[in-house]
Amino acid sequence: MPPKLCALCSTARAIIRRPKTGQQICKDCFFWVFETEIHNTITHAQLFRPGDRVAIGASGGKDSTVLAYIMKTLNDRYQYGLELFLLSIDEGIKGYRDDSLETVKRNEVQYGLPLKILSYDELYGWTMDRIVEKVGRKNNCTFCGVFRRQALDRGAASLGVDHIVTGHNADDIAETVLMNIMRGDIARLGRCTQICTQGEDTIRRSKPFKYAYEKEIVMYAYFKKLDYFSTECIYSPDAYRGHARAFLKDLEAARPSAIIDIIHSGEAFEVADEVKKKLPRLCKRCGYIASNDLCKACTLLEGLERGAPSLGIKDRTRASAEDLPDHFRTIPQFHMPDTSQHKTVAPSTTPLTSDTLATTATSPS
Amino acid sequence: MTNLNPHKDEQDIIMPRRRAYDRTSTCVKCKLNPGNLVIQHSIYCRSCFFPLVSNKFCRALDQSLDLSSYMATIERARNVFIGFSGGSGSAVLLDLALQNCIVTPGASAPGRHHRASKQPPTKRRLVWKKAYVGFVDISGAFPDTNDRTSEIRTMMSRYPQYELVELRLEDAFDILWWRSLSKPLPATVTASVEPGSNSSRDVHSPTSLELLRTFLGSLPTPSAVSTSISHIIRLLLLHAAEARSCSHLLLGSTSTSLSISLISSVSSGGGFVLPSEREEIRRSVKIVKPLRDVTNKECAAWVHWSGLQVLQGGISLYEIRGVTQLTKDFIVGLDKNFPSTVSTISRTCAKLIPKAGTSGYCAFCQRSIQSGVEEWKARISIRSRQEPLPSTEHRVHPLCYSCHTAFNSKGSKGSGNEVQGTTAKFPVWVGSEELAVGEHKMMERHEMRVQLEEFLIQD
Repeated sequence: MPPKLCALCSTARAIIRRPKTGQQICKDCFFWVFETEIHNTITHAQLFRPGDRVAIGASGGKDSTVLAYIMKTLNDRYQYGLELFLLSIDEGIKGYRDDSLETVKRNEVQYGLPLKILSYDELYGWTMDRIVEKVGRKNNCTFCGVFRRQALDRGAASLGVDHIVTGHNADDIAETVLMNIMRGDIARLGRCTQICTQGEDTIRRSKPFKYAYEKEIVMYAYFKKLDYFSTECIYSPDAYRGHARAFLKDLEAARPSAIIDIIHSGEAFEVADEVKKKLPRLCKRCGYIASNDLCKACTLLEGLERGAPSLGIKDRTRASAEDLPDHFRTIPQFHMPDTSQHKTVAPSTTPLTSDTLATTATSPS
Repeated sequence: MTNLNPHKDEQDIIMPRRRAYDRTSTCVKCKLNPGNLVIQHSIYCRSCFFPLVSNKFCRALDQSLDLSSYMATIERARNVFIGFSGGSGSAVLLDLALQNCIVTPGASAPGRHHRASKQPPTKRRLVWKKAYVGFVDISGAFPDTNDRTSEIRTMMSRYPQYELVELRLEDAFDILWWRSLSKPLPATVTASVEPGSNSSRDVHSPTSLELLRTFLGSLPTPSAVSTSISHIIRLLLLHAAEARSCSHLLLGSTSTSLSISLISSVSSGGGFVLPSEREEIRRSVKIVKPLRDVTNKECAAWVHWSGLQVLQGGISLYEIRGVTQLTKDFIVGLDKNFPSTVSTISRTCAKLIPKAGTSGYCAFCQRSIQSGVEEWKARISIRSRQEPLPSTEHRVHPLCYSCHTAFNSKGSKGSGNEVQGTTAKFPVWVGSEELAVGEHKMMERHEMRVQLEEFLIQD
């Protein structure tokens, strides 16, 4: 029986069945479609402008490892004109994060991208290992998620970057859509499918892998021989999310397009105007974006410092913005970065689109 | 002694099992009687249970019917069409509609007394003049199952106030049935019908059954089969209701089944028409789900304590392997540990509206089509090195994203039902267009390969 030919080029032998489309294609065509789809996502959403300083959120896992490689490749190929950085957060989990950060350090050398590592310990005075000692394993993901989000912004501010890109993939987004519907989190449901989020007081944050299947990211890493760490956190018994993830995998097995279909659904609806939405404001203690007087990180940190970690998780009585005793640690004041003084390339006001890049692209190696 | 169990200190993860009810075994409503039923961590006695469910029904109905002007409602009162599947939801719906909407003034269900409303009779909801009950027999889609219409007739004899309308799934492919509704045929169908056809309405031509089976057999996945059948049932009821001058079509979807439909719709790309799952208006008929705040458990208790009959056995669409069945298993499973999930899903989706503009209606499901979908699909998922094909939005019979995906998306193994040498046709309302079917450690390369195994083509 003759080998099956690639459904895209019709010349080379097909070696994979593409998870996203079910097409049987060759390796070169897989690289081409995967990279072109990311490029399409970037240009259609006009994520960047030439001269932008962009931090790649790097954990050493598959998504961020491939993201760093792809961003470097596309930046060179299509001459985006971006200044790229690697930004890692060290949560302080022994035997887990310290190992995966080694991958990020290797990427720093391989791709020639400057690396900044910011730890929870230096920012909040607490590591996740110590937080878990205090709060147990049930709610530790709340602390980690809130602290990481703010740590990324603070790390980006210290690098003077305009933009953070993260490795959230299509599976993550589909899972979040389902989770937010099931939890009734209207505010997050409204924005979880946005490719780019930005407020006046936060750094622009984007997800170039929004439409990339997790399996294809693994496939890309495999064929490109990129090495990464499995990133299943040792402190993550999030039962509810686990249900949603298992359901999504079942759906994908029944119908592979389910992941993209869920994202399409999430993009097709919005929250009705009459539903009350809280307007964001600034934390009275640290100046970071907040929905109450204090941001979530300050509330959680106060709880840890007071020895009452349930503050901000279960307690109805929220932490107040009143002065704390002197021996309590607080998060340093947050300031939006002034990126203009860091730029080595003259900034442009024209966003990168397929039109503006049409004449500058170089052929892939 | 060395601790051989590194996870010993994980004991703090294990939470004490939550009790099925919060504080007491006395009814939370009357605080007198011992409780008989736990509903979302609260316990109710039997006598408080009935008004509770009845109020939920009335509240949902009031929201949907806009009874702000009661007299105006009376003046424009038309007929109502109630979809009846024989299940517990629709059995409760018939019972509640009869008690609260007083289809025939003064009448009540045999052997039952009124216990629903505390309002005086003049304030009761005299909403509709005449009530029809529509049953769609789906045995045509499943050759090994029996026609249940005769059992439904027996069950309906309990309710002389309702007029039974018998429908069959294959009616969707029957031009004579369509004509019997006094509806104009789509132009493409008209051309192919021989004038003077004198077949009887009661005798179903084998052709419509064959057409139905060919249509279902040509669908690529079981998910597409169950979705298509539910759309056909909905549209048969809708057209039958419209033909009988009904202003409303009531369906017995409970909050559990509504949540399943909502998540299933999201999983199939139907986010744009998500509000339609809850309530929709097509032509002059409004589809209402007045049991949307009542759970399956409450319906089962109502049926049990009221001695209502339900259709036993038979096939349910939830039994068809696919997205709907997976969603049902997921929601029902989640409901056991997180009992408020079902109502949260329903309430969350009620706050959502379509984002973009529409470009007409889907020829198959008759719901709105979101504009720009083809371009979106071509951008995020490259399927050819050539330029993308022209948009289907300009086709004679355009399909919405979910229907297009259902008819074209293959299963995980890359193949679905393949009917060789057959041409499937859509239901009558679409026209005669033919259906084109179509552990923490460094990851080693061999481990990556294991994850990708099913996608790698062997030499």
